[in-house]
Amino acid sequence: MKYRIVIPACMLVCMHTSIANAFENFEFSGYMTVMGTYAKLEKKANPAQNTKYDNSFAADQLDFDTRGNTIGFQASAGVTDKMDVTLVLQALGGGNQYDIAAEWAYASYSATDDVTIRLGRFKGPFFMVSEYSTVGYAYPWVTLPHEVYSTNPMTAVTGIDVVYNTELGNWDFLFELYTGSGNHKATAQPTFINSAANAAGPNLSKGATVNFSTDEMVGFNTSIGTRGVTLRAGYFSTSVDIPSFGISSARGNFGGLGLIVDWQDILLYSEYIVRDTSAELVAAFPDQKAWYATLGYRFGDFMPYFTIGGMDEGKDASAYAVKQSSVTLGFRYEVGPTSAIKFEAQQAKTDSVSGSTDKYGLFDDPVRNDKGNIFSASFDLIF
Amino acid sequence: MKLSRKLFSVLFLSCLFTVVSSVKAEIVVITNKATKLHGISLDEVGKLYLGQNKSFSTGQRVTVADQVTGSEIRQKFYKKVLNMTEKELSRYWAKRKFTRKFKSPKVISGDLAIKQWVALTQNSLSYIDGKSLDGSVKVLLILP
Repeated sequence: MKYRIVIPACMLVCMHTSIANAFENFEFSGYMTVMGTYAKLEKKANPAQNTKYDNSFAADQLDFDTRGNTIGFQASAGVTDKMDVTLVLQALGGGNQYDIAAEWAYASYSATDDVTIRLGRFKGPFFMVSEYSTVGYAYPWVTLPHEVYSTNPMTAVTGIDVVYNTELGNWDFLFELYTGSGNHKATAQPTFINSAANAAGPNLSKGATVNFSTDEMVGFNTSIGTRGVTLRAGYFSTSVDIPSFGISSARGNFGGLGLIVDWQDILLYSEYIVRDTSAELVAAFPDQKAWYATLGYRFGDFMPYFTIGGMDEGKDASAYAVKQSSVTLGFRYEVGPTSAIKFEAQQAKTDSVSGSTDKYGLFDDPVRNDKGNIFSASFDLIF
Repeated sequence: MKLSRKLFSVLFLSCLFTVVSSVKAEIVVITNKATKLHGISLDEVGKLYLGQNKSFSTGQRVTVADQVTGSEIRQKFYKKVLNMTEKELSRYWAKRKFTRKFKSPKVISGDLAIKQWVALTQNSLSYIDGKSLDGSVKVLLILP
């Protein structure tokens, strides 16, 4: 009898102290981006159509409710001095209608000084900026370079991630290995939507999203950096299922190299990526290669920059692949210690790929005289 | 002999006085009194504050606390330790803190609260104005 009383009492005391400790170790942070975009085509293939650019990032009307609008809230709780739990709630604008989703939720355990293990749903370190792709304040641009980042619609991996981070002399070395699965959605390729194959088959409408799942994803991400320079390489391979297309166990491989130079007042970002998929994915995720380079110079709080970027068909030619090059002029201005405003004007020059005469680039419709101008501005903050 | 001893004590006193007065004027890096460490280098402090190192040289896991963003002492601290402005620091953490591969310091408001937290927390690390220093915490480094 005595034990029966003592044990629950003990449990209560223990629970109380652990809850109190958990609250004491709570840490909140977040990010926000407010954006306006506008796309202008000189001549449209079909004047009646409201042409959109890069998965509804911009349309030919001034738009303040695009997918670029972001609110994110991160809560981390220390469980022990080596383990913490993180939850990120995020709402995106545009077609996502600010639905709040638990985008990332994982436990991270720092096994030793050099090794951190993350378990759960974490941001995939797919390309150089992928892990903070929605934290606009963290990068120079209004939005991630379209050519490279439009090739990968995935944001999260549910699985396990082992990060090894150590010092090699004055260099900071990171090597990370991850594996997992995921359910994702992607906007169907406009080149496919307008094709005869779509009309004859699934008959998807413009802007339709397609659900797909990934399994047995295995990837690595490595970087070496010193103050001022960071070099990055990554690769991942995954099995892809697209039930609505009857595709299962197709394969998608993504690789990338990146460089960041942040030396004195000079800023340079550059990346080259390839998407290499198996033949079944020719309509949904055709092979592509893409790259960009950004050069900026800081005049105190004001940093003008320009970016050149491009994308082209990849290893296996596909009539659904897209090709374009772009030049962007922009600036970033630091408003306060944790906020910035940015502006960008981009000119995208579209081209056709082998097996097609249409010049889509990243537009929803073919562009008749090759050129489209995209303007965007944002206010970004972190807290 | 007498003269040299006198000279020595005068010198010693003046040295002591300069140390004390410089402590009063500047930032002190502090830890819990139980920490088995008598000093720390500027480089080590910098790496702990950037999340690049997680332990003291003794191997003990450190919990780092920072002053509030925008406070004068925080601006001075990062200028002296890492030669970084607060804006550079914000950009540094914006890239890292949402991945949790690196842990950013917890934020505690003001010298008094920091001293209390350091006095209660084992293997803690923080910094306060030398003027706020008292016997409740242990000094690891004085920033000139």
